[in-house]
Amino acid sequence: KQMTVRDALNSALDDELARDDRVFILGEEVAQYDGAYKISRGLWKKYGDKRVIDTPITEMGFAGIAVGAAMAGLRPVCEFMTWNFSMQAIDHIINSAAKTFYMSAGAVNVPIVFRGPNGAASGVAAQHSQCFAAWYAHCPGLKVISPYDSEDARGLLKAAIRDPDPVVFLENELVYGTAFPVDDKVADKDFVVPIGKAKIMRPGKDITLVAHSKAVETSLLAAAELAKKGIEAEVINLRSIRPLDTATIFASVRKTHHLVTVENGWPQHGVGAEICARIMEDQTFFELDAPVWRCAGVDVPMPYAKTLEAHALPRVQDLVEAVLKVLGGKTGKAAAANK
Amino acid sequence: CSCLTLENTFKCYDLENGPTMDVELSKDDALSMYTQMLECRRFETVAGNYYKERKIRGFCHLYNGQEAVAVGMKQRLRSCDSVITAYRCHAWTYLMGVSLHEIMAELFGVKTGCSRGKGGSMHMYGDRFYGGNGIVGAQVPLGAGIALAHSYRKDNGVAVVLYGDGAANQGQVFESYNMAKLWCLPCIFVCENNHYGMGTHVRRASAMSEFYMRGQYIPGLWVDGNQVLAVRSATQFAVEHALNHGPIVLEMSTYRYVGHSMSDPGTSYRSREEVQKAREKRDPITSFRSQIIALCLADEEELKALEDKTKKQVDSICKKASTDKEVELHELHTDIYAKNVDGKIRGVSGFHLEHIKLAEVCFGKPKKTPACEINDVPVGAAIDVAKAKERKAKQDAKKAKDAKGDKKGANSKPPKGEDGDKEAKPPVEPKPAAKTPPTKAPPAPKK
Repeated sequence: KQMTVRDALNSALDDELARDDRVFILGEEVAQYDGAYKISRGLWKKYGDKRVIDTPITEMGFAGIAVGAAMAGLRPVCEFMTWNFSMQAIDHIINSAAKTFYMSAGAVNVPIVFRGPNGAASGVAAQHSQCFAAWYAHCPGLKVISPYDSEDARGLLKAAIRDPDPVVFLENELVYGTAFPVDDKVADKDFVVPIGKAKIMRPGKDITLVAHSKAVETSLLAAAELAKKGIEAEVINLRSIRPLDTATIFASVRKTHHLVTVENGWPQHGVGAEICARIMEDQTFFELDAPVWRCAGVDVPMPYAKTLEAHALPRVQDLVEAVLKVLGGKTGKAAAANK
Repeated sequence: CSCLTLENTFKCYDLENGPTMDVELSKDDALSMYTQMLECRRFETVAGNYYKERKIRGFCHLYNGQEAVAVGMKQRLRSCDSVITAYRCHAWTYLMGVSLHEIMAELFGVKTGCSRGKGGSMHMYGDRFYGGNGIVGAQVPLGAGIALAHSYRKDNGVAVVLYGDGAANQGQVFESYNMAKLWCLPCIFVCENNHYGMGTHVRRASAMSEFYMRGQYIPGLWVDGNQVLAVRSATQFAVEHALNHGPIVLEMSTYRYVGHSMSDPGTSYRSREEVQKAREKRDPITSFRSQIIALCLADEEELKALEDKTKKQVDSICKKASTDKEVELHELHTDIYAKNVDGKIRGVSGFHLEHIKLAEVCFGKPKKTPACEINDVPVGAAIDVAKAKERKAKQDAKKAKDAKGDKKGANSKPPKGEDGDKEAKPPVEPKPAAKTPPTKAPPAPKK
């Protein structure tokens, strides 16, 4: 059975709107336009003005309103047309949503989901192409989720809406239309994926590739390339950036003794950087046979031109090169394949 | 009950009728409002003094001079209405049901504080009171969101959103006006115009300083915010308006006697004469006092007695709070998430702190954490004493066991004499071990 990420998100919203009448969606073009990216398609017709609310193009205002409604006990799903525009509203995500539970000594919780497409899109240049995973994962009080495929998208969005804390839900526009195979259980009304658990997408014994969102795809393609060279790469889909499932990463590294992190965001203080630091602070460090390597977006604002854009993000061949470098010819088969 | 007519207290914008000018005042109401204003004033004065003694730290914004706004409004709010305000929030926190003791304790940062020492002056919450907010203007869209929740639930409540003349120029205020009007939210926007945003006079900060007109497409009402009866009447009007016609903007014209915060002496941007004049001519408390006497609701003697009593009460409450126990260290890693799905919380040099949850998740109905959940654990030097006691208790238990094991017969208790000599006091207090908080001392980071 196949399901697109768009349908996964749409059906997750539909389920949760039906399940809990405190849940409502607000954002730009979510209702009558059917969603700028059609994630909320059909929901306004089904649930009406009260549950699916079009807002003016005023992120700070509507994000604040959504947080206020959550403080007062509703369960808003606040859509940013893209996460790039969340910068207009970041005060409400950090200062109003993330910190209130702590500041109020647990008197006021903020059950809200901020969602929308994140990361590099195509041909839209620097202001509309960037990854916010590291930005939001920096802040305690938030949960930050970055799904990759349809199972992730559906299961994690449903879990996020049911969660009593503020959740930042980072989707990727480029995979909205991609159909992924899914189990029957994924369509179940109560299918949820637990927040904070990574998923091993492909087992392997020679090296671990840790990625999130669209970089999981790059990693899987690279793993397929590496397999041709006799290298078995294990691919981990993080699913959740905060909390970070270090247990899964550590277990994998204890098996493969090599690690490359993959992300489309910028490298400095990024997700890969955090993973490196976590490993160094753990016994797992002594399991490494080579330094951990990061593959990340090039440290520049995203350019417009097609070729430049393609080179600004980690490609399959970049990953393969990085893996070979990290393995350094130590794996017999890999060394042979190199020669 | 006495009747009086309010004069020069309202200006309407885009309203056919304003609030009623003929108001009734009962003795009970008069004394209750008078007492509340006295309490708020005295509390802030005491807080200011403790601040100067360095017993209160950080930011501390006092409400002196503006008491009539909070007290008058609260008189006409119903139990279903919600309030959110800015950082000058002590008076509102009190009026919304948190005790002065808990508020002062929060300022001291002790364990009995209403936010258990984690919020401080600007972050206090109560039932249907969504806080002070430390970010200028941020509470305005939050308040509109609370109004949205009222309208969504059709619970007949309104949201009161207070902000200052400084915040009135924030973009998000206008974004909130817009959506509140579009969606006809039961929202009362209240601009407390104390004429200074920090040290900047309204005329230097606002191109148009008639704040009650700045909702443009939202009706507005200017109110003499130093007259508690005017505020009360305006609030009644605003609640009815919000329920029937959607948002309204109230401008409460008032004045703050103290600096913006404790670090501001408040003298470089305005003259002492200006402050003195405001105190003499427009003080909300003395003017209301004259009204009460003029209406023969109470006499000089009665009011004097009330003033003395209130002052004493507030002083003693505040003093008591100053002796409360320090907040425990485990609060540092308590209630970060309503549902923690991470493992440990990272301490300074490793993931070794347990996430502790003390709060009950209450979905929009702020509730205090039950006192029984605030564990009484020793702090500072008391920890060593507690540990010694614990060791002693263990030894005693062992001795008792040994004594039993030896089957010495008749006396199953350990011999009294020796222990009695060592123990200076009889162990009347319960064992501290039983009261240990639900966390262990942070272990050393893994090597």
